[in-house]
Amino acid sequence: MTRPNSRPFGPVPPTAARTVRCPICLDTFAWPADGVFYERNGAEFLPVDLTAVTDERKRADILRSALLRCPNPSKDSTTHYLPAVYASYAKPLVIGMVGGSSSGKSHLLAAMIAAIEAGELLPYGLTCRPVDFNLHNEFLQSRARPFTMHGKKLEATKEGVTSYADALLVSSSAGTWPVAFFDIAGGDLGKVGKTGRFLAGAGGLIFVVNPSMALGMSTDEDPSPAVGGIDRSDDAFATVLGRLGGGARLIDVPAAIVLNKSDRLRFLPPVDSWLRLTGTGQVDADQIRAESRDAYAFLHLHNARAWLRPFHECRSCTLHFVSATGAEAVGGVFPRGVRPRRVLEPLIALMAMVGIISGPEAAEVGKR
Amino acid sequence: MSENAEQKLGYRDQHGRHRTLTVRHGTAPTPTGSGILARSLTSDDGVTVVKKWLPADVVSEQAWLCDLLENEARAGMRLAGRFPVDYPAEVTHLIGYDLDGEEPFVLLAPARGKPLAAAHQLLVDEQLRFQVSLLKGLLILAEAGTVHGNLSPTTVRWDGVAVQIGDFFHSAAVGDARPLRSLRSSPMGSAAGVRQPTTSTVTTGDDVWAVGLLILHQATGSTDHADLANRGPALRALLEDVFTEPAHRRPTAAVLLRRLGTAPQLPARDEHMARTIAEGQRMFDRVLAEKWPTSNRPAPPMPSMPPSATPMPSRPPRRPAADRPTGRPLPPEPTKPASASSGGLVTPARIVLFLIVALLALIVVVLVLP
Repeated sequence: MTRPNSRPFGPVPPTAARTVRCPICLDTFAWPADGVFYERNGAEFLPVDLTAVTDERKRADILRSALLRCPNPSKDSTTHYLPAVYASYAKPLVIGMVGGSSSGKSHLLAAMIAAIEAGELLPYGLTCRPVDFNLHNEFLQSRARPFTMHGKKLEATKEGVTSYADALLVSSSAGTWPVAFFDIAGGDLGKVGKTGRFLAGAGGLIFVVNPSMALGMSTDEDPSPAVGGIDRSDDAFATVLGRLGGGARLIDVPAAIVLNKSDRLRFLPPVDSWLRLTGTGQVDADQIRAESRDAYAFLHLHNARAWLRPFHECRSCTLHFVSATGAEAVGGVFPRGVRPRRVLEPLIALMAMVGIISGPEAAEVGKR
Repeated sequence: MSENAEQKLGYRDQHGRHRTLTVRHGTAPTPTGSGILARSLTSDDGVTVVKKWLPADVVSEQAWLCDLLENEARAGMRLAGRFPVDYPAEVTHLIGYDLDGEEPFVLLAPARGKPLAAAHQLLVDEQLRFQVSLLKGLLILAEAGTVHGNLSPTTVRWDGVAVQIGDFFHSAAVGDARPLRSLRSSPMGSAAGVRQPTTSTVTTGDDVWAVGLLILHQATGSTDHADLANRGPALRALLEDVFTEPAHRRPTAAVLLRRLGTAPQLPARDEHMARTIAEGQRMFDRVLAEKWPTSNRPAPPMPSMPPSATPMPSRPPRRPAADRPTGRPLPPEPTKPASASSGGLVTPARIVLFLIVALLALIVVVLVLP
């Protein structure tokens, strides 16, 4: 029974066939109405027997954390799974974190998820729930909390990982979207391989600029890659931009450029003023534009034009000063704790550009 | 650190770049207030710096004190950015900082002179030199977009030639949201905007009150500004409107210097940097316009940048979120050319037209009637 506007016990997989694009293998397939669902058991995936579960509330609860094995019609990927609720809402949004090794993508994503978990999107009219409870809990326990609560520096993302790191159901007055976050190793992003395949289905990109590479502002734990000069390009940015757009002059994937680790720049105008701002709970297109303009001019001033490419090549693109950590790590820890700054601003801009945050003001974000 | 133990200090310099300084000789730590300690350190090649830091146990118990060192570093960076060459003697010189370790610290060039609180009473012929130098210091702060926030006999030094303003622990940038609870109640340290916060953001006028008190105190030994009317005419003229509310109505440093018949020249700004930034702004605007040629919303006017260490183009909103109006200002109505057909306004053209019509009607009436 389909009840599109009445889900007292949470979403259920659609009973009518719906075509879905898998964000991992990029194949499209008809979502099976009565497919076999699985549950995680450590590293294993075990089938869930729902035949005897007739109670609607119980069934919905089981399905909240259940997974569907992607049929991968082209048979070119290893076995992978999608959340059972993936096809139950509006077209899923895939957000990719793009940046070289040591750019801070993983710390940024961990700080974002922690801030969302702390309710910092609520003032914007956004509520978030996990798509895959087990995966979300695992992300919180292994990534977000060790970092934000215990001040531990995260290990680099493993190469070869092709799946999303976490996924949330984001609801606004405009609807509900599954939003999947991909955090692929920087080394993999610089190559044209399977691991970056999700990019072709991405609905939003967060390009992460490392000031060590772009500005030459290094530390002992994050040295500049080139001795005697600064590498003036970013393989991850170049490869990702090269994979998108299909040759069109402008890429129609909303993007946000994040000047990460801005704590290193926190005493330099105008970074100092931007980093002190806190979210207002309202989308302000003019303010986002002013910050974008400042960040563009700042990167231009430091001859970091390679990191401005997404702005030139993506039709909708904003720029942001962000610090996922608020401080430098010393010996693998943050002695004074972690103090993330403005980590949700890029995500809010992206959500405005894709329409999750709606309204006339949000519609102007990334435009004039 | 024992007095001669070698110590390597890793820090960021005025450009935000990582540096290391090896120091050996050090003086005993002395408290500077608010839990912050200071000591002089000298390297093997004879470079002496002053390190101000918070001990780890203080940081763990009173983490908010780190904000004081953050303010010191921020002000120093703004000043160093505005005066990359010919750094003025009237303000302390930041060498670097590391505020992320267990014992956050700033490094400063050694201070000159003595705090006013410990200096001798200024001689009459010193008074004018002192006033000019102090006001020049105020001008320098304004140029760097910095407000000291605690100018007092302990934070202002005098060496007989020039003042030196230091201890920027309570400083802020012009345009910052004004802290809700701020500063001290020291006899001199009542930078007015704090006492009566009639503006929601920090302005250059905030320091003017405290500068006026310092001048008044050095000239008369009193800080009773209410008694200014009974002082000599020169002092009255100099300090006119200095103790006025709100802060932005007080005279600027440049005005006060003109009252003393002087206008110190400050080093020129880095024009190359300003040009490059302006070039970046233009590129941003052009690319955006090319990507969205049909967007019908006009570009928002960018507020002009107040003086700052690095003249960047636009600023974040100066008011805190809570102070901002909830509604957005409506875009300006497109201007319409005045015409006879447009309704509403009585214009000279309309009056002339009305008179012509009335005259023609009168002629018709005269001709038609028998």
